[in-house]
Amino acid sequence: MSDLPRSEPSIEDIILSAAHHVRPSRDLRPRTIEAARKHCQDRRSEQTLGGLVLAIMLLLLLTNSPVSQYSEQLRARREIPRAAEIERLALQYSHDRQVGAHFALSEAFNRLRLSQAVRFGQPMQKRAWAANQLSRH
Amino acid sequence: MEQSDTFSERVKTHAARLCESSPAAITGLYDLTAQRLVRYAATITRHQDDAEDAVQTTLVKIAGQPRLLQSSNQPWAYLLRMVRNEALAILRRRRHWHLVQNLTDLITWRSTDQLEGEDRNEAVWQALRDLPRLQSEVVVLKIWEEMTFQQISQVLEITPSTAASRYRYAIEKLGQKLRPLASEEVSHV
Repeated sequence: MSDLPRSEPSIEDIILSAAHHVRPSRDLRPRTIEAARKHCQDRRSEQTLGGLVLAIMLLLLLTNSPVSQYSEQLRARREIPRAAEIERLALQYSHDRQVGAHFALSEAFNRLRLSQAVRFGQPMQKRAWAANQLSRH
Repeated sequence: MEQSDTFSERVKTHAARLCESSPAAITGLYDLTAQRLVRYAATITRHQDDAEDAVQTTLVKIAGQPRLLQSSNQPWAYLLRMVRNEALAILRRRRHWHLVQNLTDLITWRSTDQLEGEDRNEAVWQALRDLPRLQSEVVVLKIWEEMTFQQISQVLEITPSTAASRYRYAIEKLGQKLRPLASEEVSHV
């Protein structure tokens, strides 16, 4: 052993020796693990719910979008009125106005064309004229 | 610095396990870091309960998003910064700010063979609590976490020279309080 006087520990040494003085409380570990487990479960539920909401929103967007409206218009354009329908209109017109069957058929056909012009979005002036014609009838 | 880097690697490994497996892997990260995180947070909040709340909140966040930690270049510094932010948030929320004058809030190791060191350790903690927070943080990171001033500057978001000067001031003040303890130890031998 050396006879030299023992040197003073440095301030850093003294501080270092207190490094493990404080410890976490006993319940911190289970508390943290339980909270982490719950947090992860909640996150998973939120993600699932978020996915569902997104899917519903996409579905709503697709069904109400301009694309779907345009496709609806296209479908309407392709729809050819049946002869029976025109005939029924002609008979009704003939009965209401007391006119001949030929004139009533021609008029029913004319009205059908006018209503199509309104529905299919003709230019503004033409549409106004068609609407006016329809109201006159 | 080397030890700090090694510890950082271990933190990263645990974060990777967390990404791969399940939230249950948080136990490994907890066992590795909790004591160090609590003592660091306690120097900021100056109350153990608040420090534990900060640590718990941080680890729960990490369990939810482990990639935050895994993708960091300095995972240990990143974790310390997260705890620091949580601890500061708790301080802001605590409306009735009260300084704990004694150390009764602290939970400490007490073993019969370390009783003589108990007084000295308490004196160290008391001296650290008497320092301004910004200075005590630097001391804890430098001495207990064995970080370089460069690494400390990343945790505290200050320049390395600021960290160094805060450390110098802090050691000077701590020296005034703890020097008698050092002298006592020598005289007891």
